[in-house]
Amino acid sequence: MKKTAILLSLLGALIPCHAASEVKAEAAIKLPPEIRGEEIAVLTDPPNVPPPIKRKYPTKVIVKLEVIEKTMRMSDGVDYNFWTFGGCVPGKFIRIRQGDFVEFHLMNHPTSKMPHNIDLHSVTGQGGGAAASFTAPGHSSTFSFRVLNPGLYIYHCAVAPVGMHVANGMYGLIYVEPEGGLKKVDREYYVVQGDFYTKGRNGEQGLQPFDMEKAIDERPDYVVFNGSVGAITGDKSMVANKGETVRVFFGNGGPNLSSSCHVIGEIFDKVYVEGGTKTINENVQTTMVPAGGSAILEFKCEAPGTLILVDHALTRAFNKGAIGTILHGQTGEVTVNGNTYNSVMPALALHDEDVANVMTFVLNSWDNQGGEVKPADVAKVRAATVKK
Amino acid sequence: MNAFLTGLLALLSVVPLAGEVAMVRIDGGPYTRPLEKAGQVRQVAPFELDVRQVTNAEFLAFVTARPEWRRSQVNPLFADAGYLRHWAGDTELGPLAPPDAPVTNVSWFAARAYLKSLGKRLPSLDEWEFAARADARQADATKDPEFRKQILAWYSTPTPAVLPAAATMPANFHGVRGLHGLVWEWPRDFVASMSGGESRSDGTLLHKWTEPGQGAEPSVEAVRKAVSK
Ligand SMILES: [Cu+2]
Repeated sequence: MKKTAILLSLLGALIPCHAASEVKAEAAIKLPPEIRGEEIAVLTDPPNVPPPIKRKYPTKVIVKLEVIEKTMRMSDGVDYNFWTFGGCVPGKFIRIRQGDFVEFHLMNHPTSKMPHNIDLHSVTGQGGGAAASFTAPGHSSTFSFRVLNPGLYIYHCAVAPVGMHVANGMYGLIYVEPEGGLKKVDREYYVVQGDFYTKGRNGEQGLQPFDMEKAIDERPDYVVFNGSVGAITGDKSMVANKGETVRVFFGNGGPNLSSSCHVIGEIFDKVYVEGGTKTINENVQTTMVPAGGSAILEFKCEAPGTLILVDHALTRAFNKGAIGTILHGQTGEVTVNGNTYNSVMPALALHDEDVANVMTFVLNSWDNQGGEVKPADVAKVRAATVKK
Repeated sequence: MNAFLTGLLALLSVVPLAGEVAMVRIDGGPYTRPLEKAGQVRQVAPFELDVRQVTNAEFLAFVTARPEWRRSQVNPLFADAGYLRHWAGDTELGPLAPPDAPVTNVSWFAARAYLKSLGKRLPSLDEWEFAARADARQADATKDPEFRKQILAWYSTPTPAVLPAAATMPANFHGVRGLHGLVWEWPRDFVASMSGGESRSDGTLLHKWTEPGQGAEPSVEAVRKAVSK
C-alpha cells in the first residue's frame, strides 16, 4: 500500500478524513503522529541549504515556489534562457521533516512562455504532483501531500517536452529529514549537476538556444554544477576550515548523464547511497549519481583549502585545449610548436592567483625558459581582454 | 478556478461574415492531431481564417464599445486579474501594447465575445492545428525536422516586453501570419487537447468538450464545468 498520498484538495482540512479512511482500509498500518502547528518553509538558493529542522513533531509546511524563465550566464560571454524553480538553477532547496503535511503552491510568472508543473520524487502517486500542478503563465496551483519517506529527492518539471524543460534547468532537491535528523556537521552545501545542450559549441559567445537534436543524441556542450560554468569556483567556492565536517546534498538533474561524483583530494567518510537512508557507505572515492537521483556526501576536511568537486568522467570536468588563454576559453586554431590544434577549451572561472600559478608552472616546465607570472599581471591581462 | 484563462494568449478569428481583417479560405482535409495515436485521422471541413492576429487597437475598439469587457468592469468569472494587464488603462494602450501588436492577456470568454461581435468565431483546435502545420512552402511541414526546430527555437527565446506588429510576421503556405513564434492562441475547444497536468501519459490529452451553447453567453454552470476539467 502506498504510504504517501497526494490529496488533490485545496483544503488542508481533509487530512483527518484521509487518515480515517486509511485505518479502515488497512488496520495494521501505523499512522504518523498528529500534525501540530504551521510554518512557511525557508527556501535557499544553491549552494546554501536551509538550517536543520529541530522540531520533534510533524507540522504543516507551506511551500511557495515560483517558476521564472530568465536569461542568465552559462559561461563567460555565454547566456542561456533558463527555466527555473525560484530564479536559480538548481531550484530552491526545500527542507522538511518526515511526517510533515506540505501545502505546495506552484506559481508560474506572468512573463513565462510555457506552462510548467512539478514532480517531486518524495511524493508517491499522481505523477509526484505533476498531475495536480500544471500551471499556465500568470497562474498558480495548490496541492497537498504528506511526506512519510525520508531521504534526499529530486524534484523537476514534467511538462512536455519533458526533456527540454529539465534540460533548461527545471530541477532541484527536496530533503525530507528523518525523525531525529542527521548528525550535526559544520557546513552543509547544495550542489546539483546538469547537462546542457546549446546550438553553439562550448564557449561560443552570445545567447545560446537549446538544441533538441543534441539533447536527443545526448551530446551536451556543457556539464556543470549549479547551472553554470564556475558557479562554485573562485569567490563562489564552497569553503571549510581545517578540521570541519562537511555535508553536501548532491543531486543530478540530468536530463541524461550520470555523474561520477568526486571531490579532489578528499575521501567521502560517508555516502548516503542514492539519497536513501538505509545504505551508508564509508570511505568512498567516487560515487555514482544517476540522472534524477541524489546522494548525501559527508567528509572531514583534514587540510585547509578550497574544495573542488568534479564529475570524474574527466573530459566533462576539463576539456581538451591549449594552455595559455585561460582567461576566457578559446575556440578555434591554436599553434603549438608548429602544429595546429583546433579544439574547444571551456572558459574556466579561475582566480588571478590560480591563473598566475598555472602560467608560472608552464613557463618553468618542459623546454620553456622560466620566469614568473604574478596575480597582478593576470589582472592586467584580464582587464585588457575582458571587453573584446 | 481561473486555471486556463489568459497567459500569453491572443486570438484568431474564423469564418463567414466579413470583418475588416482579410481572411483566407483553407480547404481542409484529413489530418492527425499531434500526440494522438497514429492512424487516428480526422477530417477538417473548409473554413476561413483571419490572415493575422487581432491587434491591441482592434480589441480596444471592442472594449470601448462594450464597457462590460473593460478590465475594471469584466465579470471575474470571465477574466481574471491578468486580463489585459499590459494595457496602461481600461481604454488606454500604453507603451507595452502598440496598436499593431497582437492583443494578449485575453481570456477565452473575452476572445469569444469579441469575435461574436464581428459575426466570427474562434477556430476549433483541429482547424487551428490544420492551418498551423504549414511552413512557408508546404501545407504540411510536420515531418520536416527544420520546422520542428523553428518551433522549439521560439520556446528558447525570451519573451520580449513588447511584441512586434502582427502583420510583420512571416506568412505561411496559406498566407496566414505568425501562427508560430508570436503568441499562444485560443481555439474554441482548447481543453480538448490541453495537456492537463500529467503530460507524460496520453490519457489526459483528450478531454471531452461541450460547447456552452453557440450564440449565448455561457452560463455560470458551463464556466464551472469548463474550468474544472
Ligand atoms: Cu517546465
